[in-house]
Amino acid sequence: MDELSDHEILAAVGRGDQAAQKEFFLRYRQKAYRAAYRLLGNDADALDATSDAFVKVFRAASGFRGEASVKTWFYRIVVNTSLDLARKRKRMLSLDGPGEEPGSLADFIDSGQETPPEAVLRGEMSEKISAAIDALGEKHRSVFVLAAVEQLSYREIADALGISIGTVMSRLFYARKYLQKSLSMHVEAGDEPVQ
Amino acid sequence: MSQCNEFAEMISSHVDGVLSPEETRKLEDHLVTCSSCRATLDAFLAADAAARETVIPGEQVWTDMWDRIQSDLATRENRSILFARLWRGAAFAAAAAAILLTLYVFGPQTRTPVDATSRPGFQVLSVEVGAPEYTAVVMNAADGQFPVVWIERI
Repeated sequence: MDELSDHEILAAVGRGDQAAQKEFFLRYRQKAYRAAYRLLGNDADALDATSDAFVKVFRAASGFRGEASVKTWFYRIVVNTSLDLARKRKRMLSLDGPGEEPGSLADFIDSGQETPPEAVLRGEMSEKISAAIDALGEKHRSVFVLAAVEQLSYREIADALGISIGTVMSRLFYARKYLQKSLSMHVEAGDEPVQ
Repeated sequence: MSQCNEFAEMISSHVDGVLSPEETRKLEDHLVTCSSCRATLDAFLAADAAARETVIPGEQVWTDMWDRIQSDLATRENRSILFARLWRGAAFAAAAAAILLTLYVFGPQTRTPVDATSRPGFQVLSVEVGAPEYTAVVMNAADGQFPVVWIERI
């Protein structure tokens, strides 16, 4: 099964092959989680979004016609699922008032999940970057996460998000400029988050 | 400094490795003399690297997630089957209602009580409306899954 291409695996998923589902899950679970984590800012929501995205992928696999690459199609589902969840959480927060803080790195360690040592050491920077990415509007956040975190090409990002390559480049530049400022590398008072 | 505006977006593209050799050389020449642009490049690289530092869940988390996905898929599949049956049932009921209404409107108004025992294995659902030559009955088949419209010539 592991020698099959993504297209072949997805075709088998579309025919209801559970071994193919498992293989697809193994190939893409970390990518999905990493993107969802940076789009949502905490691990609990990232796990929910990742799980929901795989359910959507498996249910939609039979309708995949191969116009886009499997990778960009998959990331489109992950991004949309994550942003839908982010909007839902925002609505809930606005109704309920301030809720619990999003899961921190320490919470994640307490939960017994594996944590690479270098990630612990860089935890403070990770939290800063999470807060800064959270402050980006969702359009800029999506582009930044797919480019910087998932290292997709401009063409792949454009296909996944349904925008032009020029828009990808522009949003990525403004996202980086904003992150540069909010990470206190070039602090200028009064900067507003990029929307 | 005004010259830096020209290089600002190039720095972002340089981080992504998409500049042509000529553009790269032009930017690198500028970086030698411009500390502000060097700081921007360092900041962009640092932000990207920090964003890539994500704590990846352990194997138990993935196992639990896989079980949850399978359970979710099974629940949705069962729901789809139920909806399909209800929809089919509704379609049969609508067809039966149309036939009964047609007989009721266009046939002479005679009605005969239903004798459920005369149709063993079926559960009669609706009143029987008789026309001079035809009788229509709506009933459930023995397995209770699908309504059946039964039209008999008397």
